[in-house]
Amino acid sequence: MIILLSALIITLTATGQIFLKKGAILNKHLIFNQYVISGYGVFIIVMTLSITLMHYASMKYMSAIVGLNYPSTILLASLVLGEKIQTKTLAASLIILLGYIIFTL
Amino acid sequence: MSFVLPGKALLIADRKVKIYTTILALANIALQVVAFTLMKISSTHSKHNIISLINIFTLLAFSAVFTRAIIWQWILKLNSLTKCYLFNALVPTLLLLVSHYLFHEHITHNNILGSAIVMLGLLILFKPNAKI
Repeated sequence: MIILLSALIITLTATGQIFLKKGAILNKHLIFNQYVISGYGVFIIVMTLSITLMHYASMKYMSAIVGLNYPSTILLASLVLGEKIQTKTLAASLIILLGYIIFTL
Repeated sequence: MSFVLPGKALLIADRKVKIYTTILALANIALQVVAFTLMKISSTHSKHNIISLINIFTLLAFSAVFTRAIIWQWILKLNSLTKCYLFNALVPTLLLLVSHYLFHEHITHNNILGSAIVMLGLLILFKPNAKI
């Protein structure tokens, strides 16, 4: 249950950011377009799932999930949006993840 | 009348975007920190009921969150997601300082070490020509 919820939160956070990026590059209103509204809709789901997860796992575990959002978002941006990932970007995201884990230990 | 070579014009435009993005990114970080701080102030001022949570601090916090959302869209319009998303990792480190100096919360060795590692990650990301 914890692993499933965590995977969902990480995937949906990255998906939400993808929606925001798609909304930003759309030649429409910067905030009130279908992608941005969908993005923030996804974040509401993420918030609900996070609160649910907090019933089963500690706050420390949540911080590790926040840390995992960084590599997962850049990987998904690369897959969906075709953005190039530099080695240093990937390395930085993994170092940040390590920092987050140590931060909450 | 001055003529600028296309290559040089691109370089100037690129520099302008970088400066603009840096200002927006700093504003984005600052607004996140301000929003969290206001939420904390709001929660400490409110009594144990939901209605007391609706106060000036909560309203200001939501205003900060909304302004941050607009700024984030501008950042995303100008930059790739992979490039600018990691910048948000600076927020917990700044919140740590705010929590210590404003709310007198205890900082552990792991908090300091973790923050230092996060800063190292960001340094690698933003240092020009960093080779890994």
